[in-house]
Parts: sequence; C-alpha cells; structure tokens
Amino acid sequence: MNRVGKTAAGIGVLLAVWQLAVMSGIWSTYVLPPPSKVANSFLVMAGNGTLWKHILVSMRRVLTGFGIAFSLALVCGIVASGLPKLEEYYGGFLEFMRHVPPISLIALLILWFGIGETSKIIIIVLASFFPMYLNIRKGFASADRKLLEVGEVFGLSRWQKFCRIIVPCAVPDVLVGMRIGLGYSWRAIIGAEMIAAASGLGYLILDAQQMSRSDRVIVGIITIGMVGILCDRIFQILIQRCRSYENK
Amino acid sequence: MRINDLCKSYQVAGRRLDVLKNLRMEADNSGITVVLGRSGCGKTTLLRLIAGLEQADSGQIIWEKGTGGVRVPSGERLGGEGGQAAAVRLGVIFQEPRLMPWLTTADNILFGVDKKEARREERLARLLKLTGLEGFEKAYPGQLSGGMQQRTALARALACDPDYLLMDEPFAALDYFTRRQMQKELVQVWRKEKKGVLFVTHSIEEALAIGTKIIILDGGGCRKEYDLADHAYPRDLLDPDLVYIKKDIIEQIEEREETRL
Repeated sequence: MNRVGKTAAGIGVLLAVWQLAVMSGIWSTYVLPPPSKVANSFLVMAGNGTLWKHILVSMRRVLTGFGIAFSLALVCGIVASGLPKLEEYYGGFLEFMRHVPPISLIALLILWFGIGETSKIIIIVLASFFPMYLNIRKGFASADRKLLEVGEVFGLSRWQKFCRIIVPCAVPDVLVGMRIGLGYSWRAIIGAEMIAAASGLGYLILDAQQMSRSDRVIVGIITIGMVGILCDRIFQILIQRCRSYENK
Repeated sequence: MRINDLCKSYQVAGRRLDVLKNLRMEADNSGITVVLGRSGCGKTTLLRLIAGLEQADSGQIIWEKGTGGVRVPSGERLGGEGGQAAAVRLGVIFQEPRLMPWLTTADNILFGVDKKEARREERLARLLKLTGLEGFEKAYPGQLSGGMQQRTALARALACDPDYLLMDEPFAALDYFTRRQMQKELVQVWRKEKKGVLFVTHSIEEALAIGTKIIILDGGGCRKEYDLADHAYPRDLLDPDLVYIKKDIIEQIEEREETRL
C-alpha cells in the first residue's frame, strides 16, 4: 500500500471508531455529532459558499501576517548574523517576547489598536515571527567559512560575498523557517479571530460554539487542518525545488 | 617569487606557537615548486599567507613578474584593489574542492570570472576540455566523484587566468589511482598553461612525481632544496636518482625528529 492508501486507511479507522462511538449512544449527538451530519454540514456550507468566504478571509489574514512577520524576521535575522553587535541591543527583548504567548496580549492589542484587522494581524505576526527569525538567523550565520575563503581568494567584495555565497548558503534554512512560520500562522488564526471577527475560519468555530453547533465546529477544525496541509505541501515542493542540487 | 624572513605565530591555549620562523625560500615562476613536510610543519600556513588569507607577523613575499619586480609587503592583500596588488593574480586550490553545491560545474568554473567579460563561453569550453569535464557542465558537485570535483576546482582556479597556482594538498583525499591520474593531469595542464605552481604536500612520492623543485619545510624554516628540473615526465619513481633523493628526504625529516627527541 502506498502512502496515500495508508493515510486513507488510518482516517477510515478513525471514522469507523467515531461512528461506533455515536452508535453506542453513550454521548448525545449534541456532544458528538455523527460523521454523516458533519459531512452534510460541510457540503451545505461549501455549496452555499459560506465556507469559501471564511477560508478566503482567514487566508488573507494569515498571508498578510505571515508576510509582515517574514519581512521583519529577514531583516532581524540578517542583522543578527551580519552585525552581531547591533543584535545585542534587541536580542534580549526578542528573547523575552519569544516566551510570551501572543494570546496573552489580546487585551492590550484591543486597547491600542481596536478590534479591526490590525490586532488580528499582529497576533499572527507574533505567532509566526520567532520560528522564522531563529531559522533565518541560523541560516545566515552558518555560511561555510571554507566557501567564504574561496570568495576571498577571488577578490570578492563584502557585498559580493553576501550575495553569491552567504545568501545561497542560507536559502535552505530560510525556507524551513518559512514553512514552520506558515504553520504557526494558521495555528494562530483562532486566537486572532477571537478579537471581534465577523468572518473567517476562527470566527466560524467560535460562532458555532455559541450556537451549540458542534458539527460546524468540527467542519471548521477540519477545514483549518486541510488548508494548513495544502499550504505546507506547496511550500515543501518549493523547498525541494530550491534544494534539488542536493538530491541529484 | 621570493620569500624573505617570513614569521608567523599563533596563540594556542595561551601559549605562543611559532609556525614559521624567518622562512626564506624562492620559487620559480614557471616551474612546479613542491613544499614538502610533515603535518604541522607550517606548509598550509605558508600557502595561506601567500594567498593573502592570513597576515604574516613580519617578513616579505616578493613577486618578480616579467621584467619589473613587484613587491608586495606582507600584510597587504594580494589580488585585491589597487594597481600594485593586481600585478600578480593567484589561483588557489584547497585540500577540499570547496565548490558551491548550488552551482553547476559550468557555473562553478566561471565563479571568479566577471559576468560581463566577453568570451566566457569560449574559456569555459577550453577549460572543460583541458580538465576532461566535457559533458558534465550541467552536473552539480554532489553528482561528481572526488577526482572530478577537484578537477572542477582546478578549472575554476585557471578560469581567472592566474599567473600563479597555489595548491594545498589538493589530492590528499583521493585514492591512490585517482591521485596518480590527477598528478599526471596536473603536469599536462602545467605544460600547456605555463603557470608557476606552488604545491604543498606531505607525500614524498607526490613531490618526486611532479616537482621541478622540492623544498623541505621543517621547524618553521626551509631545511633543504632539491632541483629536479632535469628529470623528464612521466617519472619512474624507481629511477636510481629519484630513489636516492627519496632516501635523502626521509633522512632529513627523520634526523630532525631524532635531534628533537
């Protein structure tokens, strides 16, 4: 059996256990809706377009937050590896912020930035910045000294060495950081959309919770997982392309 | 090239370690000068100083090119900016190939060549032929054997049309047969390209197979020199003359060890 078949079999077993648990009647269908009901809600929501609307809204937030976090992480990471003296000034603060859960800042973010998009995007930025920053810093700092000497022998300037040796050496680590950061962005969507959202996958789940629609909650969870996997797959293919020279 | 009173020391675990002490030597600008010595004798340090990768404590490295002599005081970078330094172009080949893993063979060979320079393709084709890498120009270093990677490194060094090649035990990581093959190829390349070569090694056989001149480096200075310019290539290492020189080299290095004990 190939990989896809095995995955399908695993999911099949999970669905069977779920169905059996529902049929045993221990829990009410309000607590544990049957798979068929969840599937039905999924099809209805996909059919009338609400699900796609929520996906697009969340996707836009995730990509905006991820883009901002990546730009910041790139600048901070390059500075940290290229000018370590400057990093000493902000490194401690970043180290502190790394240990603060973004959700703990929601109250302050609402006070400072209101309940609009800004607060939501900041949550995503905070969640995805650190894995990217750490990987980017590592990537730029770990350029092979021996290859840098080759650049020196050919009389390359500092800038040329940066572009032609340090950046290519850093690309694999940068991409790994981006992949992890994108995953973290999706994980942060619930926290972000806890701030007075009117649409988005996080809102979908929180709203369904208010309405006691556990089937819709499960639809939301499954959708987030699937969209996350899809984004990750796209990234993985990108990484493989960039590192194809290693596998050949 | 002449080296005058070159000194270099390192601080190792709080102690001063003199690697080169008032080294004096001369290398022919058109021959293969082999610097031979046991490990830790300062061969690699010498090469790195000449290449400008490290700076000497004192002393001079003087290049005499063509008619006018060019003086490059120690500490000043070679091959960098400035009219004087540009006078001598060096190609360096390290112990490891040190190729850029993300570049193809062709791009690796042209790494040091200016993108705007005309006749890049022509030069590439000539070097691929010279080093026997035709047909592999699109391969990545990870797809090449050790010998082919080292040939790529040689082609990369030659691509900048250097006046002088510096080679730091370039074949040490290769197996015996590949090594022999590479030595032969190096001699062929040297004959065609007419470059001066400074070759560092710890292998006496290698030194005898390729050198026009052998310098024994020991205790931070030049211990003895042998002139092999009259021996034609390919050399038979069992030739009585070469066997005699080999015995003498071994005695030189071991005698030193005995006086130390």
